[in-house]
Amino acid sequence: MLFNSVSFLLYFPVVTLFYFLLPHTHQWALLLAASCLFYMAFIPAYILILAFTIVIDYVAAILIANATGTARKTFLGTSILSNLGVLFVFKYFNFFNTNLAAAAEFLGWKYPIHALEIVLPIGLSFHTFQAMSYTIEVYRGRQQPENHFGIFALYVMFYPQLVAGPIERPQNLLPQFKEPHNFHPLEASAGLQRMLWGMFKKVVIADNLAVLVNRVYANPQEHVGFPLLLATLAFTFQVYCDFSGYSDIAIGSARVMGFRLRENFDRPYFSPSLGELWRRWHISLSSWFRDYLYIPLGGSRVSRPRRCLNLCVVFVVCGLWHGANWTYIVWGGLHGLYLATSVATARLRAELIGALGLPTYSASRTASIAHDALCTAVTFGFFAFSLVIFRANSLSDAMFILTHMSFSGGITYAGYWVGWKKALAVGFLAASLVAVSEVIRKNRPLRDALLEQPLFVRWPAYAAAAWLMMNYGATDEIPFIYFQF
Amino acid sequence: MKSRSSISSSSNGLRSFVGRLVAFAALLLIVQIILSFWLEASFPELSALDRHLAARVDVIYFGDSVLHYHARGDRTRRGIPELLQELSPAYTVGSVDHPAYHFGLYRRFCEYIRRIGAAPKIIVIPITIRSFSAAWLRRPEYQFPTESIILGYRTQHFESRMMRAFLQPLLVFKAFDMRPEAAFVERAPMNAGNGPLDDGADVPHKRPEDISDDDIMRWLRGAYMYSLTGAHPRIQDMLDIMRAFRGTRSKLFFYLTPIDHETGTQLVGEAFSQRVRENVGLILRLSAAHDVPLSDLTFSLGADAFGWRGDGKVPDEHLAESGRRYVATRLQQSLRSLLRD
Repeated sequence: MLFNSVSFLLYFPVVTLFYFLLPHTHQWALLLAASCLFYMAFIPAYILILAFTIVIDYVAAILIANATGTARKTFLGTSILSNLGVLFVFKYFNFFNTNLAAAAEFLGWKYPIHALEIVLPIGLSFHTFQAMSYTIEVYRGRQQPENHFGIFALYVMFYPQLVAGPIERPQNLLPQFKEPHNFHPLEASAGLQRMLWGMFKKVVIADNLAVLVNRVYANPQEHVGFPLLLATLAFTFQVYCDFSGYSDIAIGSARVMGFRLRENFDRPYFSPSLGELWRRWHISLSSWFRDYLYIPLGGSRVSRPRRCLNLCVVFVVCGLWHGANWTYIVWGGLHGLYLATSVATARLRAELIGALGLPTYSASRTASIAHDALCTAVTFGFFAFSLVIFRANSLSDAMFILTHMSFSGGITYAGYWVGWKKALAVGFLAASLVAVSEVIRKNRPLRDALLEQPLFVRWPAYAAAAWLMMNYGATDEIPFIYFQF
Repeated sequence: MKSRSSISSSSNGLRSFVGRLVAFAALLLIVQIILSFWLEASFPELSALDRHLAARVDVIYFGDSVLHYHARGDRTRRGIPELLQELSPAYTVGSVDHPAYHFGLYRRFCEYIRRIGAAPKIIVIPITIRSFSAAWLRRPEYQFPTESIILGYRTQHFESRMMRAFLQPLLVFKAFDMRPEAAFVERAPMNAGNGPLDDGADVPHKRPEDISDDDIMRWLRGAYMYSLTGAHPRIQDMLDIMRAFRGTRSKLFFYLTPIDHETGTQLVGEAFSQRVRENVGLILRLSAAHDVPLSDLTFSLGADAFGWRGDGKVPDEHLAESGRRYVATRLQQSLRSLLRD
């Protein structure tokens, strides 16, 4: 069930209505049933995978809390291995198997293991990481184990964020299931407004741009020159609007019911450095890796070479988290390498700036703005460059695109743009609208300011967004990009 | 547990909120209906057809990318319809074309033309023999589900104001199942004569410089050397079109797009031409049985008339300028005699 579908537009209000009509003691059961139905709309049998993860982590957390010494570690290890085992079988087995088979063939060995014919469960990496953060937090003593099995199951399965996050922490989400939620018109308005904004980003921007992106990236060799460049630029906006749009809908729909989910994006394309971008892009995942991998590896308190190595390890794992393909691994490795280089050369760069007498960041307002703009442009450029590898079907496709894109050429017949023109124009125009709204906002989104306006300002604004969505949204069926992870 | 007063205030708030939501939805509904008088579900080619029909052009010329492809080094970028119009000032030509269009789309367009009672003098439909191949039938971007739904609804409910107002939002919010029918895909021709065909051989997923003669041979077999039968879904579409226009004021005219048979024969051997001739033979027999004039240009051009060596990967039927001029001239001759009749 896609968020941008008639079925969800009917499902969500019905569930919400019943949610508020039920007494608090039964609300969790309704949400759990709704979450099960939502998940089973994809592949019903896969609910058993979720059930397995839930049972293992529920039991493991109680055992961890009641055990002492090495037994705690054993229970945590069992839980983590079970979660990663499920992830490995469904997401990574075929990838490793294919590569091992290729290596065996290269060496002239017989390789007897066949690929598994399975479909990747939707949102597997998201709910697995959310479940793992629970047992780790219990192990660290920062979270009490949840004794109510239904509430814990709901924590793993809460349907607004089940398939693509934000990846929640137990401290934030679990207590909210126990609090009574009465209907608050202001909360509901804010939630619906957020959902509308997310749908707009997904349907009008991301899906329209996807028409070109999917066509070009499916067979890049058929498109040389400018279309490759344009498709890459389109993809930078598509992936942001697609994923942040999903997060907006998830956060908004939870808020209608009175839940507060964590923010997942904070204007990432306006980051002056890649390190900053990763603190503002997919925040719930980058903070997960920071807390559960980077810091345990030593974080920033180790020697500089070790810190650089840690960064590379974390980003390669982050790349692998996104998908079982060399493209994701190289993409992650590239980001790790970039951040490691940035750490390794920080002192050298500062000395160079001083030696050349270049204006420093705080020298003047103009210098500061120019410096910021330049850094932001370079950061955006690097991120867009890396997204070619992220989006390409293979490394050879990525190489082809990177070596054949240009500002001209490549259009071989007059009808080339037919069918794309409108989608591209709408997509890029709407993306500009989002960019402008992100530039002019200071510390709070324009959405919040809009909520304080009188009805005659709010309603036309909402109606315009809804109308644009209904009439200029893309009609192709384009799933959320992060659903596949 | 909720207290009685909090439940009461909560449900009052909910009631008034739902009331406001319903009012907002009603406002949106009215706006949508009003604006649908100017904007409704369409796509550029359908808008072009509507414009041509409103201008009462004499010849509606459907087609795929061959119509407007231009090769490197061409002196003109004008497509076949424009060249035809230059050669034929006595009548007007309006083209409705898009890369990868096929008989499935042409049938829906034709049904729409019949439904609204328009009667162009001639409807020209080029038959690209490769459009019957398994790759063309299966490639996701060649399915045109949105276009098919819009044309289907225009054919059935064009007068319905509600349908005109809400078709686009229903498409945007995925109210229609747009997946191709499995049974339909299964009918793709996967055999050549008595033997099986390579797996539908699509364009090799390689850089142009990496494509070998073996790759091209495999592609040629998949693209042209299947065994075409009357059960093919696109042949059924062709038959539907011929039946729909039988006895009407509009005349149908088909022509078979030239293919690079020289390269095909050179790489695959005589079997290439032989198989293509058999497939062409079926189409010729069917059109003759329905009294629809058909010009067979399949083997009419040499390899120099095709543009694929400049920027393509495989010897497809995209024409360079000389090829486009040749087709336009042959069309002009055929249409002149048809209009005289």
